[in-house]
Amino acid sequence: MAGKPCTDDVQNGRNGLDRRTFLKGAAGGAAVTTVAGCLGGGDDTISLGALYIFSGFGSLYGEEAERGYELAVEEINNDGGIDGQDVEIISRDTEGDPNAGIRQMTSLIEEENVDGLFGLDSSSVAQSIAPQVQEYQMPLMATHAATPFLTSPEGEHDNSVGNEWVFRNSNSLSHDMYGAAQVAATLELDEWATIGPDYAFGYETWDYFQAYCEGIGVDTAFTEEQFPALEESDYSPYISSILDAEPDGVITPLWGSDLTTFLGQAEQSGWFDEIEYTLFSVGMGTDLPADGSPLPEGELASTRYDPFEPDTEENNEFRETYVEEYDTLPTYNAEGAYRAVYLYRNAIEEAGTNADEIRSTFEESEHTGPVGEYAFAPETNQATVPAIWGEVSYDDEYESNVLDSLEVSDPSPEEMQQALEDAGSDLPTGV
Amino acid sequence: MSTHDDSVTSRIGEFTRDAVRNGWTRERCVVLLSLGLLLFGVVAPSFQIYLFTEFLIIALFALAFNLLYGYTGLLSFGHAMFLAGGSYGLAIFLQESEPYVSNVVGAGPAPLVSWVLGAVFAVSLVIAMAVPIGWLSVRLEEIYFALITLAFGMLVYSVIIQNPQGLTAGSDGINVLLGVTEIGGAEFRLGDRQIYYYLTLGIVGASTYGIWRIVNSPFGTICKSIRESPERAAALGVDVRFHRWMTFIVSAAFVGIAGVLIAGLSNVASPYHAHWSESATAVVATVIGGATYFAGPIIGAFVYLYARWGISRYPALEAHWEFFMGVLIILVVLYFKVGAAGGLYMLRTWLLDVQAAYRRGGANAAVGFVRESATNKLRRDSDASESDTGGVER
Repeated sequence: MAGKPCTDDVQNGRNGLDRRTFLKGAAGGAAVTTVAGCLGGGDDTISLGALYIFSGFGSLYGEEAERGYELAVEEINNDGGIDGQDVEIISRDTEGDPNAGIRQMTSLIEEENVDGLFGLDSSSVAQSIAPQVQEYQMPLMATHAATPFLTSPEGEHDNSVGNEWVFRNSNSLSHDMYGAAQVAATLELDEWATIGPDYAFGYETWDYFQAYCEGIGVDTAFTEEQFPALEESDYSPYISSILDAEPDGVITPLWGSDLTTFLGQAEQSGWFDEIEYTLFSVGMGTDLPADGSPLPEGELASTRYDPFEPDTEENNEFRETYVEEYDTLPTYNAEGAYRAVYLYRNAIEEAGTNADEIRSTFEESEHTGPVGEYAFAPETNQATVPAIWGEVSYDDEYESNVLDSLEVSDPSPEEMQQALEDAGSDLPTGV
Repeated sequence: MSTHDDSVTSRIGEFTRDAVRNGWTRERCVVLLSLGLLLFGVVAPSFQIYLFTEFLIIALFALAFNLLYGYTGLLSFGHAMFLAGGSYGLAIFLQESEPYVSNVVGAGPAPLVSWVLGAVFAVSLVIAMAVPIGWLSVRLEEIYFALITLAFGMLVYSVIIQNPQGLTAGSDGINVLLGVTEIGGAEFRLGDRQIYYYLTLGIVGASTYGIWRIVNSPFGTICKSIRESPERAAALGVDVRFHRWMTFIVSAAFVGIAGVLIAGLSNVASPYHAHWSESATAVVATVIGGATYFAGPIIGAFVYLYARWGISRYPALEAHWEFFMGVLIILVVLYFKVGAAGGLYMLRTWLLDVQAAYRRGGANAAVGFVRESATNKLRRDSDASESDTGGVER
C-alpha cells in the first residue's frame, strides 16, 4: 500500500498546564506537531466557559451574548475581579450541532479547567449537554435555549433532561407561550395560525400556545400551520398558505436570519395588511430591531428582558452602559449572558470555586439583575423571571424597535400546571 | 481468499518475523502503530483521548465513503444518512428494548448486551436502507449520482426531523447513555473515556483491515476498473451497475458502524448526523487527505479534526474558524493535488533522494540536491503549462 502512515501519535505534556497546544496540521505534506505552551490563564484567574452559536445562521445570537458577557467581565475586572482574581471567559462555538457542542464542552472542562459553564442557544445542543454536565458535576447556566424539557426534571417526560446541575436564567418557551396565550385572551381573535421553523422549537411553540390558550379559556380556533425548513430562502408558498387560510392572528417563532428573510417577503406580500396581529416570539433577540424598523409597528412581540422594564436603577444603568459601549439597546440574549457572569461572580464570592457550593448558592439565594429580582425554582432550577409581551413601536432616541404597553406575565408554576391539565395536555411546564 | 495453505499460527509467526527483521517493513510499522495506539489510551490526557476517538470514527466514515468515491468513482453526497442510520439504529434500539434485554439476561450485563444487539440492529438497518437507495442511485453517474444521494440524504434528514411515530424525537435527537455493566462481579461503564477508546480502536481497526482486504481483493480490482473506465469494464464482462450497487451497500455498512460509534461518543443520536454538511465532512476529509491513497481519508480526517481543534484553542482564530478551514482546503486543493497523503508520500520519496545524495557525496551533495530540487519545484510551479499528472498508482 502506498503508505498506511505510521501516524505520529505523539502525545503532549501531561503536566498541569492550563492550556495545551496540540496543533497538528499538514504543512508541506508533513504533519507538524507543535508542543504546548502555557498561553495565559493560571491560578489567579477565574475562568468560565461560554457555549454559543458563533457561526452559521444562528450566529447573530452568539454575537449578542458575547457583547453581554464581555461587558460584565469588563465591569467585574475593573471593580477588582472576583475576590481579587480576574475573571476570564473562554468562548467556544457549538455550531448549533450537539456533536460539536459536546466536544467543545469537554474541552472547556477538561482542558481549560473552567469553573462553570453558561450559554447555549440551541435546544438540541442543550438537551444533549445537560446529562453530561451532571456527570462532570459542572454547573451550567443556560441563558437562551428555551425548551421546557431542559428544566423539566429527568423522568417527568420522555424528553426531560433537567437535573440539579442545569439552571436557566431566562424564561422558557412554555412560560413565553403562557404570556402569548394571555395576550390572545385580550385580543379575542377568532382564528390563529403559525409559521415556525421546521424543528422542535417551531412545533413546541405551537403546541404550548394552543395548550395554554385552551387551558386559560381563550375562545378561538387554530386553523393553519406552516413549518418551513431552517435557512429557507423562499417563504412565498408558506406565506400564501397562511394568507389563504385568512387567520386573524399568527404567532411566529422564526428566528435568526430566517426571521429577517421572512419579514422582507411578508412585507412584500401584504401580510401585515391582511393579518390583524402577528406575534413574534423571538423578534427582540438580536439587534435586528435596531436595524431601521424591521418589525412593523403595531404588531406584538415578546422578550425575555426589556431594556426599560423594570424601571430600576440597576436596569437603567445596565442599559445606558450598554448603549454607550455598543451603540444599540441590549437584547435579552445579551442581558442573559451578562447576568450569567454576575451569577457566577456572586456565587464564587460567597462560596468559592467548589462546583457543588456554586450550585447550592444558585439554588438557595435570591438574585437580582437588570431583569429584576428572581430566584431559581426548586426541582427545576428555572429562574422565576417574567415573560414580557408588548406592542412594537419605534424609538427615535435609540433608533430601534422597542416594546410599548407591556403585558408582563408572571404566572405561578401551579397556574401553568393547572392550565396544561385543563387543556388535557401532557406537556411539562418546565418551571 | 484461501487460507487453507497455511495455518493462522504460521502466518502470525511469519508476520512477527517480518516485524522484527528486514528493516522498516509494513509489518513493523503496523506493530509499532498498534503499540502506540494502545499506549495512547493509557498515557494521553483525557480530552486528547476523546478527540482521538472522534478522529478514529470520522476516519472510518471517510474511509468507507472513499470506497465508493476514490475506488469506484462515485461521489456520494448523502453518506451521512448512513451515519445517522447507525446512530439512530442504536439509539432507538436502546430506548425501546433495553428493559426487555434486562429481563432476559439480567440487569448486570444488560447495558453491554443491549449495546451489542443495538449495534447489530443498527448496521442491519443501514444495510436495509442502502439496498433500495443504492439500487436506485447507481443507475446514475457523476453529478447526477451526487445529486440523487444528496436528495436521499436530505430525505432521511427530513424524516428524522418529522419525528415519525415519536421514534426519533425530532430535532432534539435521542440521548444515548451507555450504562454501567456488571459481569461476574466486575463493573465497568462502556461509555468510560478509556474503555470507549479501546472499543472504538478495536472496531475501527478491524473495519479498516476489512476495507483494506476488500480494496485489495478481486472485488476491489473490479471497483478500480469501473472507476477508470466503466465501458471497458463492461466490455470485459463486469456487470457495472450490480457491482456499483454492491460497493454502495458495503460502503454504507461501514459508515453505519461509524454511526453506531459516534452515537456512543457524543451521547446523542442527532439529526445533524444526517445533514448534508455531515456528508461534506467525509468529502472534505477525503479531499484533504487524498482520495487516491488508501490512507488518504484517515490522514484527511486527522488534519480536519485537529486543525479545527487547534483553531478552537485561539479565541481570535475561533471567531473565524470557518474562514481558516476554508483557507486550509483551498491550499490543499491548489497545492497538494493528491492530498496530504500524497504530500507525505512525495516528502518520503524526496527525503530518500536526499539521503541517497548524502551517501553518494556527503553533506555538500545533499545540500546541492536540496537546492536543486527546490529551484526545480519553484520553476515548475510558476510554469502554468505544468499540470497535475494525477495518475498516482495505488
